[in-house]
Amino acid sequence: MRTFRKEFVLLLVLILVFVIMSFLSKEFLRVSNLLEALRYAVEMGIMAVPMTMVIVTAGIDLSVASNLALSSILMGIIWKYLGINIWIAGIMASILGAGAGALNGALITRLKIPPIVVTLATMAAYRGIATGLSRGRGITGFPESFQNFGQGSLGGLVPYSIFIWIAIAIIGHIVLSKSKFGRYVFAIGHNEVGALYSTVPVAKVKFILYTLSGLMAGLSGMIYSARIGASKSNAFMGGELEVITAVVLGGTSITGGEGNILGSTLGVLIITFLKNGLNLARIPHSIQSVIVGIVLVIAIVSYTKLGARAFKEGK
Amino acid sequence: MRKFLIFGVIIALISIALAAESIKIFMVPKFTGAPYFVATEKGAKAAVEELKALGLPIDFYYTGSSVANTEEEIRIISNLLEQNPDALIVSANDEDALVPVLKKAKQKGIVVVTYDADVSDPTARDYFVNQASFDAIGAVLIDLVAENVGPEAKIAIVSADPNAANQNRWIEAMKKRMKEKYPKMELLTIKYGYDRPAESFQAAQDIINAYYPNLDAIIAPTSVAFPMVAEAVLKAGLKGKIYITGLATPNDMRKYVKDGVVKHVVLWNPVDLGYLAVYVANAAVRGMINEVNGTKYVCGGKLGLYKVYEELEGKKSVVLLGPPFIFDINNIDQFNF
Repeated sequence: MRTFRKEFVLLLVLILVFVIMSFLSKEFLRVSNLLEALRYAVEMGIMAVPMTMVIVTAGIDLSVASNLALSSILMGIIWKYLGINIWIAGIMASILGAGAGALNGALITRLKIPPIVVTLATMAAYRGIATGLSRGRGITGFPESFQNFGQGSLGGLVPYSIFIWIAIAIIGHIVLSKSKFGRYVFAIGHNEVGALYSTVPVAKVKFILYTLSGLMAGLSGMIYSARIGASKSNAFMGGELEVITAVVLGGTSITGGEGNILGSTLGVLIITFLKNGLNLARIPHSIQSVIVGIVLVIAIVSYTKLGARAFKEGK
Repeated sequence: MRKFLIFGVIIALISIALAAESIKIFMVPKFTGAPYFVATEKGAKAAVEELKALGLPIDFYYTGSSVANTEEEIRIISNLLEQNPDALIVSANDEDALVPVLKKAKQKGIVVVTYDADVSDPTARDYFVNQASFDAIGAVLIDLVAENVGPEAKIAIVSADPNAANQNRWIEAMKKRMKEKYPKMELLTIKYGYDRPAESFQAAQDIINAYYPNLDAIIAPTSVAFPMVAEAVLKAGLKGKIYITGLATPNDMRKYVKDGVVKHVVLWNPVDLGYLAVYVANAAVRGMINEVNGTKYVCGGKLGLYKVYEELEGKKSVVLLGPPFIFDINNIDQFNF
């Protein structure tokens, strides 16, 4: 019941954002504006799916943005220097991204190093490798069809990449809320030791989660490269915090055991449309950051209140 | 030159006569939270006021991320396209990543002007307002050494990274100037400080230990190494014995200029850069970039008339702000960036 209430709050916030922003600028409610704004939220939205699951297990993955950049560079290198078709190069780079995620998973589960420490280290390492491989220069000149995948829109209106996000969000939601795997994820977040004793394959689930996080970062790297028409080692710099912010705003508890994909997706939408509306209303960027921060604090305070009430009601 | 002036006046008069409609210009710097970009904003707003007084009203909006962030810059530009500005003035955080969104703007019929930092694809923008050419910067640095030490000076350079593109172009330009104008000047060595203060300081110390007293001048074409070279010379007690110059902002070098260890700091004037960018964007939107004998000219307000270079140092459609600016003890306090 509690999660239902959280999403209800988020939906109200989203509607409130729409109402206020439509008063602040006449362009905000245009369909073209709303859909185009979503193009820039796709990578965040996709990476928020595995990030939600990781945070539900009381873990965190700080390396996603660096992994995205590394995958972007690897895709460019495979395409340009090995002469492999760009789409296949993109898939290969996504798999390498999954490998980078698997390395996180292995370090966390085998060596029992806390996720925040492991991914903080690989955040620096993956970005460093990406910069070294690219020597600070971008790889450009991708085929038109590939660039169109990131820059074009269906019927001139719906960005193609949005469909991938929707598909991944739906699959992620079903996996987390309906499958056995999803129940394992929550069990680990609630009580890892307890889960271990009730035969939950804790290490395996965690390993899969960090690998998935890497895979989605790699896929986002491919989408990102198509969108900006270049492989860049500085891609999505600082983006890991945007993803985590959206997930936390979406009601996922940073201490684990609680959260879902619908909430995280609403979190991404709220941040995206809030910033879009404030840009159109010509609100300076420094004030925008403050407003996003205030919304985040209000949301979290209301969650703890809801949580307290649910506790009182004996749930 | 007189012909140009008359020409400029005519443009101004025509524009007043037309009592033109208001146009919308958006300006997006790399980021807003630095004195350098505050200076470009100041210049841009001065140009907007001037044009308004001339009967050329502009709905001007200056916005950007508060810290350097390519993603945010792309998002801001993309969002603002929905308001159909007539022109965009952009300083690109990333020369490649900004290309698609600027191309999209051009497809919508928006005039795109880059300033300060251009994009890699010239078809993604109409004009680049360049702060200073590589050749001019290289020439000014060498000329300063020649004037202050002599045409037979022995010099050393402390640069950034061996692969730093801008620094290498400046060093090439310096060598070219030496060859053409001061054949007896000698470049002893180039050391690299990798744009890190400690390494730059070390590089300067190594040079002094290895070459002084057969060393007359050190040039540092990077704002990280320049103050560190000054520190090293001060520490060696060679103030006044070794001439130092280079590229940096007045704020980086104020202390050393006041101390006297550095006499000249070379850069450009960012206030003028922002000012000129607005004039170019305004002229491009209103069709005020005129062609005379196959060469395009644009009026830069109080800065004068500017030629639009079809190609300059590998970049197409460039408006060049002018010769580099030299900051010294007499003028450095007028600048805060």
